[in-house]
Amino acid sequence: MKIMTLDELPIDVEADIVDMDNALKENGRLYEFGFSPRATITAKFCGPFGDPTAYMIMGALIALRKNEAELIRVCPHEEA
Amino acid sequence: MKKHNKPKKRAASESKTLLLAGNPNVGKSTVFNALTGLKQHTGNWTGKTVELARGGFVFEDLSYTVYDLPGTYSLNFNSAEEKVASDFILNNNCDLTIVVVDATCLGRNLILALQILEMGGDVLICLNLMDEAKRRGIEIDASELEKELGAPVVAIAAKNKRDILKLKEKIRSAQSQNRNGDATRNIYPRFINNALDDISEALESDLIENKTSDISDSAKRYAALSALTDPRSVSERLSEITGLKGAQFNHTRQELKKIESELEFMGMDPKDLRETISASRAAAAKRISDGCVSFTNGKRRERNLKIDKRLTSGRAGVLTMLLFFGALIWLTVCGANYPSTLLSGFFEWVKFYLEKALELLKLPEPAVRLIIDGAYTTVTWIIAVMLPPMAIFFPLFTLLEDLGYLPRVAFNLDSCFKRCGTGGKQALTLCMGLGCNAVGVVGCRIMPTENERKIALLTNSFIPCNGKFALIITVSGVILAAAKPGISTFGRAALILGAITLSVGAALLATKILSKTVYKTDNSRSVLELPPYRKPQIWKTIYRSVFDRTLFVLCRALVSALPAGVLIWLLANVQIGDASILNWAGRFLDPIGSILGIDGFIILAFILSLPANEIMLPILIMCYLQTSGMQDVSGAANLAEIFSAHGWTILTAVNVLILTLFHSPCCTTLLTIIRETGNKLMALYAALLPTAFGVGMCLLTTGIYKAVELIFTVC
Repeated sequence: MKIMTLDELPIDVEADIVDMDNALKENGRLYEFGFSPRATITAKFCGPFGDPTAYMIMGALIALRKNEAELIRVCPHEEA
Repeated sequence: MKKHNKPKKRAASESKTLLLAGNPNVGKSTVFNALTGLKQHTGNWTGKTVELARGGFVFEDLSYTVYDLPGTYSLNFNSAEEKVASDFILNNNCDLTIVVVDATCLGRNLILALQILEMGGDVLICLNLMDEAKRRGIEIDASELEKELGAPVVAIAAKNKRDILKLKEKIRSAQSQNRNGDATRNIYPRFINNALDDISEALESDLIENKTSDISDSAKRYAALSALTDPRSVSERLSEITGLKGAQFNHTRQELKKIESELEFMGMDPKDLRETISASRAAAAKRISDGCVSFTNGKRRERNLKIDKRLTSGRAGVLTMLLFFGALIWLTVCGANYPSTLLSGFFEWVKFYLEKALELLKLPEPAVRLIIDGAYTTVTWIIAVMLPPMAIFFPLFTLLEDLGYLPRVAFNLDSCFKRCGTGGKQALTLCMGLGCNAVGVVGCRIMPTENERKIALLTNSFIPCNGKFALIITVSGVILAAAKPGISTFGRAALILGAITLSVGAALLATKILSKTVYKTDNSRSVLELPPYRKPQIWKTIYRSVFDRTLFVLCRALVSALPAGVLIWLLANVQIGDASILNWAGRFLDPIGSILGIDGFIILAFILSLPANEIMLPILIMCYLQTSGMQDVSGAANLAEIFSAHGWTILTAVNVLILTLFHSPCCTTLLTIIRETGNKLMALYAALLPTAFGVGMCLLTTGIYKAVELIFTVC
């Protein structure tokens, strides 16, 4: 049960959001886009310079920059 | 504070007011169009609808007025749009708020739906995109959802005519259905519900004490929520909702202080309340959607991301972008050729008979020449040469918009723009500007912070609008014909693509300068949604777009080009001393022109094309023809001849291209900027900024050219 920051999450690995307090201090609007503790999030692909990254969360594809992603902590699902 | 269209209070016998709310990209505008029969354009990306649209329809003898709110993710009054939306709903001037929800993304969409339910009033939940949901194996239990939310639910696919009928019927019956207000109590933990109850009671006391009319229970609860979530703006927001002034909130303030100390006693920071409330709402949204959504064959079919992964990620993304836009330009260049030639020929033919007809009417010779050479030539030139590329590019671009590709552009360019102080959303506004700079300016409302918005506004004119685009196509044709005759359309498209890339680069540079100096930005926050690709309604869009655009250009040609053509003719044929006024003007501006590597008439043409960019070339051609007594120009074919007869070199052509790209936006855009910012100076800056850039580049190219010339003569 390794906990990592969202920007470290590998592509196509599902994870649960564990903690986003720091991220919320930066941007209180994250809730509106479906980010919340215990929500499932998956990284899908990156932009041309590795930033931003598109994440699948609550059925929508949301692009987040690295400086915001690194403030969210997630726990990847175990391998089936 | 900006004025917004508020529905007036009206008698019961008049029409019912409906409000369409929802997340961006859920098909709200499609529903709006389907209900009202209006033709608001429904591009597939966040922030497309930035102004309130209004329409109406009649159903079973009742008439309805519909307002289409801009898509928002929440109603926390973070932006002007959110405030407009929540004001509308709160003012209870709507009979029914229809929350349009994306069925493929129910959980996220419910976050906003729950907020709207909390505001009170009648609500109808409209599950849209059911066809997409079905395709992905998503099933929604509408009756369970109704129970959970305490509001009626209707499931449709807005594209279907039958479903729209279903929606209208549901609208009719929804109003007589009673709302179960208790559903929204289930969202929050008990201590918050208790706090909300206490504040509501305090508010009621305040209202009674000040003998103000009472407001509904849900309005009180919503006011209490506002007070808890945003303690700083308590007075302002509460005043708006209740009508009381700041000093009159005695009981409420006492209650809030009490709650604050209770929370601190519990070990909670009152500032965390806002997050607790948001988190509770998000959790409730998830819980409800988990309870109502099921998947056929037990597994959710993931959204098809193969296209995105291949085309948008990494380096491929930038390449795809260049390819898409390159293809767009190439199609425009190719497609415009044939209609241009046809139209030119047609107008020549008409001109012959028109001249004969005017002679028969025994009109004096100068009048005939004024009409033919002044008015007729200018207007028909625009229609023959400028209209075809404009009428082709616009629909193609609209298709790209409808597909949903534009947010991918913002995604790809986010890093570049971030380094210059803003973010990918500015790329979106530039894309809007590619269609029309005035639209791009209004679209700057999607920028997250005020300074970013101002920067986006000022740099929007760096990207060529439809009219400038037509100019670029023509001038580039002239350049290539002279420099490399027989070059293919691919080469021409490449040149134009290069021009646009240059203008994006210039916009980036200007952005960087502005964000470091005048409008310092804090651009750390940026969240962008990439909506799913949607198949555009190809033929319908093309047909409607071509029709609209053609009409628009024709009107502008008549309103701007005709007077301009007449004016030039008059200036050219009224003599002062030994030369016409036009000649004097040209001679006067020539010194400035030669510093910039162009001539006086070109400067004059740019100045006179302020009303509409596309009239620049006809004015210039008229100037040349009228001052040299040359007759006749049929279409763009003889342009190169006319230009070289007036001393054009490759330097002139390049500089004209540069100035076309970088000069003041048209009048409409400037007026829009004044309207959007409430500041006339902004319009001045917006006019000066690209012009300064263009002039600077011209000085550079002229300098290099002259230097090279000098070196060659010396050696």
